Amino acid sequence: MDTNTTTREHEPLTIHHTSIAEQDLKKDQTTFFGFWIYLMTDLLLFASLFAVYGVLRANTFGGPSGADIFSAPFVLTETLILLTSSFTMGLTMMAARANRKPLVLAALAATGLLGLSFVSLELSEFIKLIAAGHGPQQSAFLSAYFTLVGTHGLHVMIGLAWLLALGISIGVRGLTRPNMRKLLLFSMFWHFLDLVWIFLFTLVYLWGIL
Amino acid sequence: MKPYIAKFHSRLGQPEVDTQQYFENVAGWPQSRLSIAYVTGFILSLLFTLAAFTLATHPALIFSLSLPVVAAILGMLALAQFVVQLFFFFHFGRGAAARERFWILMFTLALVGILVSGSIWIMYTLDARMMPSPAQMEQYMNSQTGI
Repeated sequence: MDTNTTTREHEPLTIHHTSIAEQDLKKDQTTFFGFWIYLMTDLLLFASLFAVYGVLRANTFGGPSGADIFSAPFVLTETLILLTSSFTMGLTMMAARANRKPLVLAALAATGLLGLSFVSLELSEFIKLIAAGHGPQQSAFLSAYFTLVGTHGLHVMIGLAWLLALGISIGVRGLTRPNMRKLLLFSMFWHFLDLVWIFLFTLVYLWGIL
Repeated sequence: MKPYIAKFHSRLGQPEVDTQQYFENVAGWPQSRLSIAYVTGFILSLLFTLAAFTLATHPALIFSLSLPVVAAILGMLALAQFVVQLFFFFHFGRGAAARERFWILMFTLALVGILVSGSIWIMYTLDARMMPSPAQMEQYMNSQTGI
C-alpha cells in the first residue's frame, strides 16, 4: 500500500511537466479555431448587410446614386492603404516568428498608422457626404451604404484599439506565448477586414461607378 | 513543482515560447515559405486591384465590352483576389487544421450565397408575388361571376 501511494504521487509529476506545454498548445489551437468561427459569423453579418445594400442600391428617392457620390481615385487610395497595412501585418508576423521584438513593434506601428489613415479617409468621406445633405436619412440607398461601409469602418476602429493594446503588451512583456497567440488572432482579424474590403471596393464602389 | 503551482507560475511569468515553431504548431502555417507567401500575396492583390480599377474607370479600354460583361469581369477579379488572400495571407494549405477551417469557410460561403442571392432575387421580383390590390381583386371577382 505504501509503494502504491508513492508511485501515484510520482507519476503526475513527470506527466504534468510535459503535458502543461501540450495543454497550452491544445488550448491555443482551440482558441485559434474558435476565433475562426467568430470570423465566419462576422462574415454572415457582412453578407446580410451586402444583401440589404444589393436590394436597396437603386432606391435613391431623388437623391444621389452611387455614380454621383463615389470617387474612383479616392477609393483606390483607401484600398491601397488597407492592402499595404495587410502586408505590414504580414511583416509583423514574420518578425514575430524570427523573435525580433523591435521589428514586431515597428511593423505593428506601421500597420496601425496605415489603418488610422484608412479610417480617417473613410470618416472624411462620410463627413463630406453628410455636410452636402447626403446623410443616411436621405434615401434607402444612402442608409444601406452608410450601414455597410460604416460597419466595416467600425471593425477597423476596434482593430486599431486592439492593435494599440497588443503593441503595449508586447512592448512590456515581450513575445511571450499569450502575446504570440494574440498576434496570431489579430493578424487573422486584420486580414479578414481586407478580405471584406475587396468586395466593398468591387461590388459597392466599382459597380456603382460603372 | 506541483502541477497547479507550475500552471500558476507559467501564467505569472509568461514563459518564453519557441517563436519559430509557434505559428506552425498552433495554426498549421508553413514553416519556411511564410515571407514568400506575404510578398506574393501582396503583389498579386495589387495587380488584381489595379486591373479592376483600370477596367472600371476605362470600360472601353481594351475591347468595347458591354457594362454587364465588365461588371462580371470585376466580380471575377474580386473572387480571384479573395482566393489569393486566403492562400497567401491566411495560409490555407495542407494539414488537418487548415482543412477543417477550409470546410467551415465553404459552408459559410454557401450560407452567404443563399442569403445574398436569395434576398436580391425575392426583393426584385416582389411585384409578381404580391397579393393584388383590392381594386384588382374586385375587378377579378366581377369577371368571375360564379365566386
